[in-house]
Amino acid sequence: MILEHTKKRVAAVLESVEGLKQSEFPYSHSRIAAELIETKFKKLQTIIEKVSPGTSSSLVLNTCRTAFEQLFTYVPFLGFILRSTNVRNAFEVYPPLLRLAKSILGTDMKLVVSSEWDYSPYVYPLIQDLPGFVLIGLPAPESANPLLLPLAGHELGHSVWVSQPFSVDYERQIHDLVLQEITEKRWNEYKDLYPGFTKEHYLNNDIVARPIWLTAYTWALLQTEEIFCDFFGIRLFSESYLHAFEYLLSPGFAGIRSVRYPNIARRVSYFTKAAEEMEAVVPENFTESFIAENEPQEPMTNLLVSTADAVSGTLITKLIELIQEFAKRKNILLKDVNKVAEVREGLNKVIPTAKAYSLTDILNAGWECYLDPHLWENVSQIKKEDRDRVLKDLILKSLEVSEAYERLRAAYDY
Amino acid sequence: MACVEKDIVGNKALRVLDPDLPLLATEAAIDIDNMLSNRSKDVTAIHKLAELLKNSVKVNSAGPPHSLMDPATLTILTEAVAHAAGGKNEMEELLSEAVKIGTSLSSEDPMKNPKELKRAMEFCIALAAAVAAYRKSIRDLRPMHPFRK
Repeated sequence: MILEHTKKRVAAVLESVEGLKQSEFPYSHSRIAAELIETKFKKLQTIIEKVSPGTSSSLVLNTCRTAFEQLFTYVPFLGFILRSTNVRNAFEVYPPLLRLAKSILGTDMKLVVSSEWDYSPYVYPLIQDLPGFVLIGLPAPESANPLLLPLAGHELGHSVWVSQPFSVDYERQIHDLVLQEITEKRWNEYKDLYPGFTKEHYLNNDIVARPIWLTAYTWALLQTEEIFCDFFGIRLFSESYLHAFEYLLSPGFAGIRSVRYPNIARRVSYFTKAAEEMEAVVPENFTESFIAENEPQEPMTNLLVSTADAVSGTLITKLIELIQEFAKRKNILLKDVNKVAEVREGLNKVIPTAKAYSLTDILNAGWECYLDPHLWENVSQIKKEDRDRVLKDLILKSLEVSEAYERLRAAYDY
Repeated sequence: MACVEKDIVGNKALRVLDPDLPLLATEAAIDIDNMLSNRSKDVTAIHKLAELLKNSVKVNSAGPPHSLMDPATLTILTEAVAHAAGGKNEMEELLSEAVKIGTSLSSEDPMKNPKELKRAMEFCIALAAAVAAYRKSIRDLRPMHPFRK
């Protein structure tokens, strides 16, 4: 019966994809993503069809479990793709964001911009599941807010991390640092909590000791990737990334911190360090905008996560250098204060840009206006309650105008 | 056939987060089962998995084999090998077993040694299970909405 259920569940997904493909896609990458998932489920269907009545029950169970895992992995992607067609999204942001992403990840990359009914910037920890795709989503109520576009920098960071060979070097470094932390710096704590193991068990690859340090290793690796992505966001979008982060995620929840990120106090202190190195200005009272999180009380989890924290913390300077070098190699421009001022001058006069500016310059100018309490005080036609809406529209229009100029520049090469 | 498979897999090694790995391990297990029961002789998935294994463990004629995998993948692989090899828990032994399984899977005529092939099937099942469990553990680290249970 379980096999029949599995077959029907997979068929139902394929039917949903078929329906999804009939949607009116604003750009082709959403459709391509849907087709890729369709291919995966057709393959899964073929594999399931190979199971015969004589197949052992353990093998049937294994096949059904694999199918089950695939459903959990890919069905949320389908929802994400469907929502990318919704007019609540600001389609104006897509072309400049795609242009930026291609300049970083190569012209073959695919981008899907969508929204999520979950109040956090969308994070796909298993971005490897759709190779070559970058998926960027914001909470649905904010999905048309261009001021939050800098958070896309974090998501682009994930794609850079998984696609670049340096992530493999970091895996090795983290492996060594975790073992060093356990056997040298924190040995007494580990000895007390795991009394059956000697240092040699950890250092000599004992398979019973591996699950202990592998947990700390995995968390340290995930934390390092998240820190990299935050720094990448700052490097791409300067302080507008910090403003967007504060807007969407402050003050955070009180309670136990997530193990896959540094705790918020550390994360914010890392932001500050990276911002200093990347010519970004940290917003006033930025640190105070976030509520401190609690560490896990359970002693083993506490020890393992503090090991991961220590390891990821030692890599901060290297990560900043890595991103600076990567950005230089990819010709990613820093925010240009003069151009930000030019865009801002136009916005102050309720005029969108009239020539090509980088996404970073437009968004930083937008944030400066948003944070200016005196913006349009003397413009009687704009009521105070309409200010944000008008500003967002102007930013979106500026993005469109800039994109038009970029295309003309490409066409006429001027 | 072997050449075609080489083109597909190339020099790709085992990676626990490789999205194709759970399906490949599952398909290889089914294909072995079908082969053992004389239901089919499809070796495509079996050979692809063998190639991944071959690219993941370096064999030294002078010394024990050693891993070319990241720590998480190595742990998953050795767990799967331990399941199929029963009773072994030294890393070197397990990697040697992985090489044997890889050799068995890459044979042009895997049915020459049905006992080894059955063991390789157990390995494939255990690998698919371990990969799924690891992927779930990573997915579960995503912060959940505070009111979602």
